[in-house]
Amino acid sequence: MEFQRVDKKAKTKWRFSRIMALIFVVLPLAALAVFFGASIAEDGAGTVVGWIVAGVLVVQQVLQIFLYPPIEYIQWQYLIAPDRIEIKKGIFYKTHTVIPISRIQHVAVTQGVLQRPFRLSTVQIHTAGDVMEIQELNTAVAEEICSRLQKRVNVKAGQALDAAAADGREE
Amino acid sequence: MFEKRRCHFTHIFELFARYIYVIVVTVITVCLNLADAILRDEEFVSRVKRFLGGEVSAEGVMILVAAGILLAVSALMLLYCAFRWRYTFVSAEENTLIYETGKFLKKRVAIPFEKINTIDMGRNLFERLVGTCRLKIDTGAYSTSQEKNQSEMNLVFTLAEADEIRGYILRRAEADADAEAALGSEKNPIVSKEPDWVIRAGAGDFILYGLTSSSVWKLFWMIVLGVMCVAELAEGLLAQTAEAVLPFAEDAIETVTQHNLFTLVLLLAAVYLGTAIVSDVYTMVWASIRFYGFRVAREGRSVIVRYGLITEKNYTLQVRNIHALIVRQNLFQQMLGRCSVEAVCMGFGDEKDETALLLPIIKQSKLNALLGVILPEYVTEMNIRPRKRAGLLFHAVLPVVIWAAVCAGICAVCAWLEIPKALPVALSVVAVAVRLLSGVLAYRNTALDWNERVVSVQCGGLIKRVYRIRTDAVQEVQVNTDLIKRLFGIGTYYVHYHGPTFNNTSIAPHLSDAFFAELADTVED
Repeated sequence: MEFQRVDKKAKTKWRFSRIMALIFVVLPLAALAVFFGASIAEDGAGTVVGWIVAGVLVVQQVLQIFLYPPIEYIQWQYLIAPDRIEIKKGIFYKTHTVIPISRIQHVAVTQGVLQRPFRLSTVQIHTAGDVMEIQELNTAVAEEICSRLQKRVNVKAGQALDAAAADGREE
Repeated sequence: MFEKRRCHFTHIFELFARYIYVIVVTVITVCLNLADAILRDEEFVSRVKRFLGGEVSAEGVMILVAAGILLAVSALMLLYCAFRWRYTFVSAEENTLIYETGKFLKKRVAIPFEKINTIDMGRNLFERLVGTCRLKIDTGAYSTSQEKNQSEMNLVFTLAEADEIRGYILRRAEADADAEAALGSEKNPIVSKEPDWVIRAGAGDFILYGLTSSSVWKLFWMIVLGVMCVAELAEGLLAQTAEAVLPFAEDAIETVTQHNLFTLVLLLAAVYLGTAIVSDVYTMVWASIRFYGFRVAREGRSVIVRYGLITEKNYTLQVRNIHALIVRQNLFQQMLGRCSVEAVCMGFGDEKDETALLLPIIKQSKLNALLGVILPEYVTEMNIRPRKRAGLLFHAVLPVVIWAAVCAGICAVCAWLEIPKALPVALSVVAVAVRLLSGVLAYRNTALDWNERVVSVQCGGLIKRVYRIRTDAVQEVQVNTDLIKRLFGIGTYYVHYHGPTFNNTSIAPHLSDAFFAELADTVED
């Protein structure tokens, strides 16, 4: 079995949501940094610090918009094997997670406001210890994965019950 | 099954005691805020004075008003508690324990016996004097144990009744269908006999516990808290003391800073040792009182733990709901080869710092033998897989370099502010040395092992922890790497397991990432 990538539209969605963040969060924060920097110290040092903070914030967000999405698209991978789910993610800090199918409590599909125009969804996998997500999947694919996982969870639960019953009979 | 039964009447006072603190604080705060307004109302003041039939000062009137409100509110609250007691019942039907409370706002909780995870019988001093016992029942349900940090049932019965209910629940929980039917025909509930205690802690254990488990920081914070209380209660006392002490302190600091670096480090060590001795004595006394008569027994599918001199704890853990054991060792315990063991049990505890302690202190070499008696499911020999030397870089070298840089910065700032540099330099040397020791120990301690039954995660430097997690309780495994770690083939392992709180995780940092596939395969099986 091979690792699958998220939907190609994910790159556009990431860019769009980050542009929104740039306009509504980062630029106002940068303006505040420049304003406070100038008002704290009158000798010009504060202004310089303010502009540096603002610059770092904006550059970081610009990188998030233009550079990171293609890398994230390559790094974000998932695998749904008969007995486990594997998720790989991260750019600098990579995480590889393995969830045995038998530990899944339930599966859910969620769709955020920004995901809706791109017909993307997120599959949430709930275990007794954590919640893991496979983000930015095509809604149809996400629903198909959700129902497939639900069936497998039911099969595994049935097998576990049969095994417990067999153990009980042996005793 | 047993009929509806009500709690012991002292439950009323215990319920009331929960509210009294809030009532007193609220009434005093309200009265203090309204004092001016009340005293300005001359008609009201004169009416109070006429009622008392004598001359009373303005403060006296205020105190009487506060006392009157306090009495009235307390009486109402006592009535409410009595009402709650009157309409709170416990009963058993078929395979369910029923808890009912309330007359107007009714609540009925039905707990299947097989879902009961923990039965906790605790007795504080008051309960021991009146011969009662607090019976807490937990199922580990998210809405109570994890979200509200409460037990499903938390009631007071006579000791005999509580023991009777506990025995009944245990028998019902363990019974199979046939035994359940047989049990149903019995008229009298089963009273559990005294278990066969397999582990008992003695005075020597408490002394050792005190010597190895004391926390100097805890003592430090207690002193700070004490000083704050004194400052709050006696205004001016702290200022007077500070005025008297400060000249001596300044002299002492001046004398101290004139010594060389080596003497200063020795002096810091001596201060630490002195504080540690006081802390040890306190912990020994505290441990002797808290863990007095500590004993553990295995009864069928349950583990029973009892201890306590003033507040007696008596809890029963269902083995199937114990998902992990945590073996802890601080630095002294690592040096002396001692450790303490606690269970991670679904649904245990309604207090934040409550842990299901199984063994307060034992020899590490005897751990498996003792576990073999009470929890053979968790007996395993740790097979330490070869660790990469590069791990030392992340455990010790990088953190020490960062610490040293920070300390150098602090020393530079002190020099700039013209503060005598000897003391910050001495403190920096001690801090960097402690970080180095902690890092090297962490490198030595970190390990990961797994087999079909148990996944063992060992981590920690000055405080070493070994998590023995039931393989089927592991929910997911994760390995995290960054750019530098990937160069050395190193990763940090996260093992998420099913525990009483959401997201219970044990972490084994900076190990070879080559083990991941094998670990994941074991967990899947």
